[in-house]
Amino acid sequence: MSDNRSKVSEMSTEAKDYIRGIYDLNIIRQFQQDHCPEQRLSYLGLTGAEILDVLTWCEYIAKWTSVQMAHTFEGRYCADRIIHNALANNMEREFQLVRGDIDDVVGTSQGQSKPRYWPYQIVNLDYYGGLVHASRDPNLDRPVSKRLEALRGLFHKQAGHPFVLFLTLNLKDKDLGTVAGLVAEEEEDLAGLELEGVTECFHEHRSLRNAGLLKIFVPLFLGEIADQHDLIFSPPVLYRGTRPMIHFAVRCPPYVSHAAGRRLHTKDKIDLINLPLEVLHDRDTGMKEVDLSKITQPNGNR
Amino acid sequence: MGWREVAAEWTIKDIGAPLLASLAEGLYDAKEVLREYMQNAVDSYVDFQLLTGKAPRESVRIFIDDDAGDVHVMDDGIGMDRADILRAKSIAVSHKLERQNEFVGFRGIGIWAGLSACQRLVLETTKVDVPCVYRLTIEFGSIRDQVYDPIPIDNLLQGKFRIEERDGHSKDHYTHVRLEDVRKPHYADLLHVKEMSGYVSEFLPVSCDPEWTYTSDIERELADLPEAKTFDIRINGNRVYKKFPPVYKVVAKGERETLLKKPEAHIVRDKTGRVVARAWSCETNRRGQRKAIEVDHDLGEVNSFGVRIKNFQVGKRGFLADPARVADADNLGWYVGEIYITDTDIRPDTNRRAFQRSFRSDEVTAAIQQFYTEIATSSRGWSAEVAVLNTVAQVNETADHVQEMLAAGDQAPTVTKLWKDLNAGRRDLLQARQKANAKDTGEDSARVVAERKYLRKEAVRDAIKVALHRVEAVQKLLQEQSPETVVAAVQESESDGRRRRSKAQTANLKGVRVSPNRGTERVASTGADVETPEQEEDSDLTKRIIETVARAFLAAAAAVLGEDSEAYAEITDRLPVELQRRGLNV
Repeated sequence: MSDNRSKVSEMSTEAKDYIRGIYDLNIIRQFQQDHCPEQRLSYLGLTGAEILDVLTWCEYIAKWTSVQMAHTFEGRYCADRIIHNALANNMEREFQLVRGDIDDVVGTSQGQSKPRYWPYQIVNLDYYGGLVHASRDPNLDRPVSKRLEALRGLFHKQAGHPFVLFLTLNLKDKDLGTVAGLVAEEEEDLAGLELEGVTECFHEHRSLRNAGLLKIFVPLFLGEIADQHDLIFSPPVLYRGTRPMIHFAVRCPPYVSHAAGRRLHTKDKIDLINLPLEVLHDRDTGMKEVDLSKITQPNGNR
Repeated sequence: MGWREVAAEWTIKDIGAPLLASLAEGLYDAKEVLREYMQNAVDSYVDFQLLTGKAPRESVRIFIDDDAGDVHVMDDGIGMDRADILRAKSIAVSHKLERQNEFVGFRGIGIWAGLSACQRLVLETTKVDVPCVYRLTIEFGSIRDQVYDPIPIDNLLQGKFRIEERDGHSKDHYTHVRLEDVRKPHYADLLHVKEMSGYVSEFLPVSCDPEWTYTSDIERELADLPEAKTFDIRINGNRVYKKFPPVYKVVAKGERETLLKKPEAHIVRDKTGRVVARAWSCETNRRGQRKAIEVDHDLGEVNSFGVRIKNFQVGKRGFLADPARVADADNLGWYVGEIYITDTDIRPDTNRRAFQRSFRSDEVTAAIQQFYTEIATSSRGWSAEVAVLNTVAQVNETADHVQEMLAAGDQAPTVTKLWKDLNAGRRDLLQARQKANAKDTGEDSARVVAERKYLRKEAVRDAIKVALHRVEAVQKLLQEQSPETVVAAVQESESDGRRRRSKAQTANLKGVRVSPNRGTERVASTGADVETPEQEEDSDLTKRIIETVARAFLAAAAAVLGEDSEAYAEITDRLPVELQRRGLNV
């Protein structure tokens, strides 16, 4: 295999390398053992030009689809590099490059016809521009998030199949207040119930600004849309890559208890809000948990 | 009227753009375009080994991106530095000339091979121990748009290419060629994985399929032959192998039929005895009416012979098998094999469809055609063996039938027919044994030699012997148990024989018709009598006379037909047999 891995570490960051090479790799290993023992997996995602994820996880990957927008010069160049690096690393077998918008590819029926290897066991969405990234649709009275709708489409497409979803988000998101508003609604709902620590919990999360808001919002949002899957979250991780980022890793085995699908109950929401939050300082220090108040039930249960 | 010299210089301005069209337009089809880039990749591995002394991982990866309409070819060979990349854009100026005995890529037009095939060529490369990556981009589409304009060639090309560089790692070494936006429909095959795989499998230097039964035998045989060197060539990650027809076929549970015999090695020499090639072949083992090897083209299987230079096939299968120069050329389909040219004077022409003309090309061509003739005519041996063994089987079956019939009390006309069948079988087996026992002479034709070789196999001899004994035993049984019927059958058989003899071949010897019928005929040239086989007296004289007549006849036939002709060969083969049939034991 070529020397690309060592070469491109200079272009990635130590923090991201740690998450990719240790944190996520352990999750993938566990997922394979639990759901696809002795099989290699299929990958769909935003690999970036250097295909670092695929190279790091190549031992577990049999097939992979990289999605890259290619309507600009930079995008086309990136697409070329993806192919180059696939060839340079002998990873071109069962490899597909889809040129297009990831939100269209995973979220729309037309886009979903392009990737070849559905269902995918690893979906890696490295959203550089943020998750919500809402835009104004002149026909609607509220902002629209194509990305959030794409995630809905992804879970729908993957219904009945286990997979692991990695979501890496830029903390600077042009969310037009969507996330803050949704979090506030959630707080209001929970505050009206017989629970303890709601206000403190939400206040402390808000003190972390977008990091705290996304830490609450993303699991709740996924919990709402993934009615055909159970969601097993690993603690979200804050880190500084090329920018401040938050990384989510969630295993999604199929939900089989009821044909109508899974519903998000209050207890589930509390569990999701109470997820620990880790901060990755550096490779040597490793991850440390951020001290955040938790919501509890009146008898002290969380 | 004195002439005065006019000062003039020959410059690039004197070469017009349309010359480029002549070079590239239609020179290569889609598959040949791919082959040219593969050739460059293979050459780069040779150069790597020459430069570093190391054997690199010799893998060439082709990636067909049919979504984008692009084809990528990547190798980990020596790569290029600045000087190399500046030369790479040259047309028909190959630095490969500097390599001794390396003619691969000679007179190829290198990266320009794809001029007609795509809109743009992008070549990215870095050389071992050079911490710089280079990228050459040539706008083939723009060049084609203007190639017929009446402008000098340098005006055509300026502004249509660029070379860029960036920092790299000195440990890296590769060349990655991208043919961008392949032209359709003319070059659409370049985007077709199955088509390209089939082409690579047949024409390019790939290994035999490891699943094929005889692969290890052949690899062992070719291990010391540099002209048979192979490379790991992959298309979209899947390694491509040479495909040959299956050796076995399952005919029933636990039973299989062998379709192909084990490979044999050959050395091909020219008329002076100089070695020009090495080859291997597998002969059909099929015994039915159709003996030709069956191939599944969908699977990329091939038969006949490929002629290879540096393990790149030249032309199609059966190259040089001109029926006018190769006897029994059709029978090459009974074989599968490869011929590796070792004569270093032989090079492929520009598009690798034939030999480049040279002072050795005719000799080598003739040597290959002679090899083909020997191989193809030896197939007659197999045919003879199969025919004899079929006769043995029929005779045994008839003998079984006779025994059953006698046990059941059946009589004539069944007996008559069976007697005749046994006689016919006996006759054929005797002829076969006679052929096997005939003395070898230096003038025997290739066909006769081949037949004799196969009929002399121990298994064949034994089968004939056993079958003849069986016939004798069964005929004795018939005579004992049904003598009247047998007498009638014998008489009928003999009258058939006389009728057959009267229709037998006759020959003109100095204008006198010689009949093989019984009775005495006068032969004007010799004044001798041809006596019937029944006359035992003066048998020695008879024998001498017959031999004299036969020699005279052969001399006349040679004069009329030509000693090298097929007809004459046929006559020399069959004359002893025909004489024997008539009881003329010479």
